[in-house]
Amino acid sequence: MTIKRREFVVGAGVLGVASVAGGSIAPQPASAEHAMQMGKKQTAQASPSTPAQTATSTPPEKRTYTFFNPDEATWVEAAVNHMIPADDLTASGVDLGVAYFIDQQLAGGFGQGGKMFMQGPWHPGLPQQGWQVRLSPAEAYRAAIPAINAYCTKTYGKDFSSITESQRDEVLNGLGTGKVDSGPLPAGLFLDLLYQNVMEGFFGDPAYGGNRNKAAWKMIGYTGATGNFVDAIESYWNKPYTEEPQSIADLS
Amino acid sequence: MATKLKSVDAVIVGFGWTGAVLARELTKAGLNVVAIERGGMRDTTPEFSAPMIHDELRFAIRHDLMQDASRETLTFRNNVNQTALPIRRWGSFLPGNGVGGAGVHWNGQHYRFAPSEFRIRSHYQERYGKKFIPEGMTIQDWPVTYDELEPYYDRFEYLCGTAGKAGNIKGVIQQGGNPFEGPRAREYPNPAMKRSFQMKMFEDATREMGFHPYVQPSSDVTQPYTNPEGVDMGSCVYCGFCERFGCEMSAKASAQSTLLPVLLKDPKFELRTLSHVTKVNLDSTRKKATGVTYVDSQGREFEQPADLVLLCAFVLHNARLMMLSGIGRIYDPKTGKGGVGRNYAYQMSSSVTAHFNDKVFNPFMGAGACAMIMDDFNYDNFDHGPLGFIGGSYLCVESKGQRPIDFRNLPPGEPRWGKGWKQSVSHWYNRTFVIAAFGSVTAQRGNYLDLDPNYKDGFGNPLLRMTFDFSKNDLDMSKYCTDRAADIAKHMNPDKMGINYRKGPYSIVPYQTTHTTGGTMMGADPSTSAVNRYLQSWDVSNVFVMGAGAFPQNPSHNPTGTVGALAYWAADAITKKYLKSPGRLVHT
Repeated sequence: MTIKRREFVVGAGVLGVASVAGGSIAPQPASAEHAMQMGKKQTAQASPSTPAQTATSTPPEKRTYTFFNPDEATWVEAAVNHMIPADDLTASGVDLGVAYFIDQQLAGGFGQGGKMFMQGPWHPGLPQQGWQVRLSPAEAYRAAIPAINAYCTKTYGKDFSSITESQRDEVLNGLGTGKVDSGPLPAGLFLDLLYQNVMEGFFGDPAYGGNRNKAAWKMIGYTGATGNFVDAIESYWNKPYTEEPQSIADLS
Repeated sequence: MATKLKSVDAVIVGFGWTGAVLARELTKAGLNVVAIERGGMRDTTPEFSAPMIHDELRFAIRHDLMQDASRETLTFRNNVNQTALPIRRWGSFLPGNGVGGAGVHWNGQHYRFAPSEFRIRSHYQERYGKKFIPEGMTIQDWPVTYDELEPYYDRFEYLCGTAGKAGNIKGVIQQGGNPFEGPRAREYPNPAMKRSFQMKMFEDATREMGFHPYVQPSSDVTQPYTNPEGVDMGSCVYCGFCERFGCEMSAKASAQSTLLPVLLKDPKFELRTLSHVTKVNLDSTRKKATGVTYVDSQGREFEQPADLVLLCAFVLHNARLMMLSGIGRIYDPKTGKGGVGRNYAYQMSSSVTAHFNDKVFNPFMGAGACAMIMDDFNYDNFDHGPLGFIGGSYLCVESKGQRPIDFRNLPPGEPRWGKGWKQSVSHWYNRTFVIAAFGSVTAQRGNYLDLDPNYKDGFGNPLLRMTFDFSKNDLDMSKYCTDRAADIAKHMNPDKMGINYRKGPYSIVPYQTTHTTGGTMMGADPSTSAVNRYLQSWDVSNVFVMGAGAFPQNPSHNPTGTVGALAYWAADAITKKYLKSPGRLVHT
């Protein structure tokens, strides 16, 4: 498998511009039509070529994965960009930091099963009894990815990152039904975990490394950590609320 | 070897809503009170400060304020033919942890139960005949009436600064309130919440259909308020971060925003945090508690002697502590005997989504208890005769802050990912609302709590075991009420709609509600209940057990209003009756 080197660079300073080697990280401007639909002010978006302010700011800090190995990174990036492809609404999931978000979550307490009850005895259990596999979420990724790649190689002659879009749909849907083997994990568990983590990275606060430039919030018209609608809840009846979303960092 | 501490008048196990109410009432009566809380200290400042608290991932998804399941969980199965396995991560319900307990992360939805609910078995038998209640359904009359509880409901509402519009004052129906509610002595302390656009649509539609919508009673306070304890509360700003969050405004009623400022200044009160009670100690007669044993954060074991022991932890932990301590008889589903663990119940939930191309709802605006409700299909407010089931649901449109990791309601058949999904979610997020049904769960012979034979917590004590499934009665009820919600949605003529029925078997995976009830139920008969009408243990008379565990079944409306009322009711019995003559308050 080709190992693709990935580097993330986050711009320091007021613009918060981010760029990624080999790809655009800034969301493309929403179309005028969509902006009208959403009733939002179309705001100037930083373009990938916008230089970070250099005179007054420290050099941009590089980001890198601290949990994924290169094969896992390649797989997760392919899955993230399949679920969140670049289009006129946002940049791709990877460029929005979603794969980086998942990596950081798996490296930390969530991924290590820090608040999960992990004592035996172990039994497969029934679906309604939830997670009964003797693996933390991070270990579940580690176990599932090689198994899914093996299935892809056997079925399509290529690993997950190299198959076509419709084949990826087949594989992801197959994970849900159990048609595609995900190693020691029961059917559906890995897809549910992956899907939940992708949504967390896309829609969570940018403080965690995903949802860069609040792109997902702008896409749906969510206001983020903003916190006072005492008048607006009645004055905006059936009217779109046009204020820009605010992240925790914006308000700190 | 436990270090034995100096005796106190009363020890409180768990410092949430009921612990705070009991601590205040007993210190006022002159008692020295120690409260022991397994979680940490937390207060409005700094723990609930904005903007930090407005973090969906940390609080709503990763459950920052909840019990740590790695240290203590419970096991679950649907019925006795299955092997119970540990709930390894929370899903269906979220037990709280730390000072304020689950009362920190509630929504502020503050109800009273209908008068008929307190005599449910008698009521249904009188109206529909003795055969109407099926075999195996163990619903029971409460050993207390609505009229007896009314002054205590009132007291808890005024403590919380509850916002609402009365529907019935001393028997006179009030315009704009809930006409089905029991009579109340006076109006709510604060005016009702504002209405969002979707609440207004629901209000108009249901009124046109002949129903009786009302604004949900809310303990998210609607104007600056000083409660009867002299504590100042803030005013709700409709930020949409209530459920699973603390309130930075002191607007949502909790122990922190209503009682803690008074208690922390009181020399008769002491709060010990990060201390886990493992057992209530009994004397050699097994009829009197001598205090509790707890382990602090350094692993040191202490014995805290006390004249009174008040179990004020969450429903599940109170039941487990009774079982671990040998207080009362553990319920046996084969014989139907034993009061502890009996009649565990839950709350039924389902929903209808309504999607409108040409409307905008700004679903991020709102508060945990900002909703339009109707009780026309709740309790016995409709004719159950031809329907054949017991119970009902309240139907509502809630504007409680639709944070996008959790809430993205798309019409049926939309893609789950990819470009099509992105277009769908960007279009529908702001053009959709939900009509939810929250309903009763009847007690069943096979639904109960006991101790698990296979799994233990970090202290080596058996975990609690939950055996629970939805009954046919409750699924039939839910189907009927969900269809009524769908009728209302259709009346509004949406472009698309989806119906999400609740189906069996019960699963602990998807979040439904944290309104677990029963297990330490109150009753008139010591052989079929854990505590008497004053929440006093039948078997160990200086132990009182608070909380929704006392409910003989789950009545539909959310529990906190009744939990608070029962805490005041029990506190009154302790201070006015028990302290004068310690011993059993009810003789059978």
